[in-house]
Amino acid sequence: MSNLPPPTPRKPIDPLIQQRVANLRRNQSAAEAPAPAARQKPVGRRVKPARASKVASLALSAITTVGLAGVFAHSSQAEGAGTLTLATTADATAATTATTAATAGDTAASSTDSTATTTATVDTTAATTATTATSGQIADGTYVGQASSNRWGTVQVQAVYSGGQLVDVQILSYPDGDRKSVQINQRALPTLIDEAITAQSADVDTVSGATYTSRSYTESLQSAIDAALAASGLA
Amino acid sequence: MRAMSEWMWYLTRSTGIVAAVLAVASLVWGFTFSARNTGRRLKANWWLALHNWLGGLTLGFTGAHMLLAFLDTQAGLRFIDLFVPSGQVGWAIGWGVVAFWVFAVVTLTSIARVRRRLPRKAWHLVHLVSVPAVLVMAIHAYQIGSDALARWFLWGLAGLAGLAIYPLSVRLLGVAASRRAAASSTRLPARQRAAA
Repeated sequence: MSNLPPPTPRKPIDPLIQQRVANLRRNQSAAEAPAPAARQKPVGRRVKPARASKVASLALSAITTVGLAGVFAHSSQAEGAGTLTLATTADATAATTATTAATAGDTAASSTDSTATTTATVDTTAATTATTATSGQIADGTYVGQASSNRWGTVQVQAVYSGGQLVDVQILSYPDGDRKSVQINQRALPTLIDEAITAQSADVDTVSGATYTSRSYTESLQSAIDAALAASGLA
Repeated sequence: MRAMSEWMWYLTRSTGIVAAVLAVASLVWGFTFSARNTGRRLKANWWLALHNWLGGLTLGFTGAHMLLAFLDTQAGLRFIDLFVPSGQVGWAIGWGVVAFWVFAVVTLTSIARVRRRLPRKAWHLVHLVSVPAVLVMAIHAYQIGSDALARWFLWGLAGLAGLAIYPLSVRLLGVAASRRAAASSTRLPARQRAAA
């Protein structure tokens, strides 16, 4: 006989634990079981959240894009009031002593969509006026540059020479089809004129926010200077 | 031909504006979703799905904006100018290119297949870069100057900023609150933390 104490009775297993063990066994046997030949797809509609909102946002975006483009087109045709002082070809003619004709680019004539009154004043044939040249310098006078068109309209300038120096650049036409163009050009053109007189050439920096006007201004002024050089026999 | 170019220009501007609005809308949806401030009426997955969709639409409209600018002969943009920012065409356009690349990367990394392969922190960091990209986009719109002086443009810009600030603030306040909570929980002794 041993002196061991009598065994204590085993505690009953918690029914919850029993249930979990049973579940585990069931899952294990299910996992080991061979897979069905073909798993059936769930019947019914595939969930596509926010489908209607997506379609609505796409439609709204497309409509807004087209609508805004239409508004831009309409507003660009709206009449604007230009207040920048424009020189006229008549002023230039009054100061003439001799007149030569230079053919301007036909780009100005192709401008059809601008309702600006100044654009209508652009001549396809620009008048260039000059006094007799003294040797080695540009003859005094007013030289009209070719009209240069860009997205916003036409820029045309005339260069005024006195004593062989570029003393003034007058604007014959500038884009003024809408208020914004007028605003930009009123800011940019005086700067461009000052720069050209300082540089005594058309080699001027582009004014920020007036890239197109700056380019057209440079082109027109360069053609005016070329005309001056040609008229003075320096070309 | 000239009229065609004009319409290209109008459509370039309008697609750009719509892309900007969509970008801000996507931002608002994203922050509203991540701040768990979506309300009870609509499910969270509705917000997430629409956020993703708006992001994709932003990229689509940005692409259309770039394509139209390229097709507009008067704009004088080369193909490379659409993808490489440079001082040659001006930084006004360059900022737009930068914003496009950020939107492209953010959208592409949000595609489920790509996202799964990225570490969560890296993805989140890339995703957050879209916030400064929206600001860069606004700089692009302002500097390009086509509509910068228009009153409606400035009001619209202010409105979009106002729309974006609310969910952004809610999100930032939420982040600050959760950080405070985390900091205070780490200061508690282990026994109290377990009890909490």
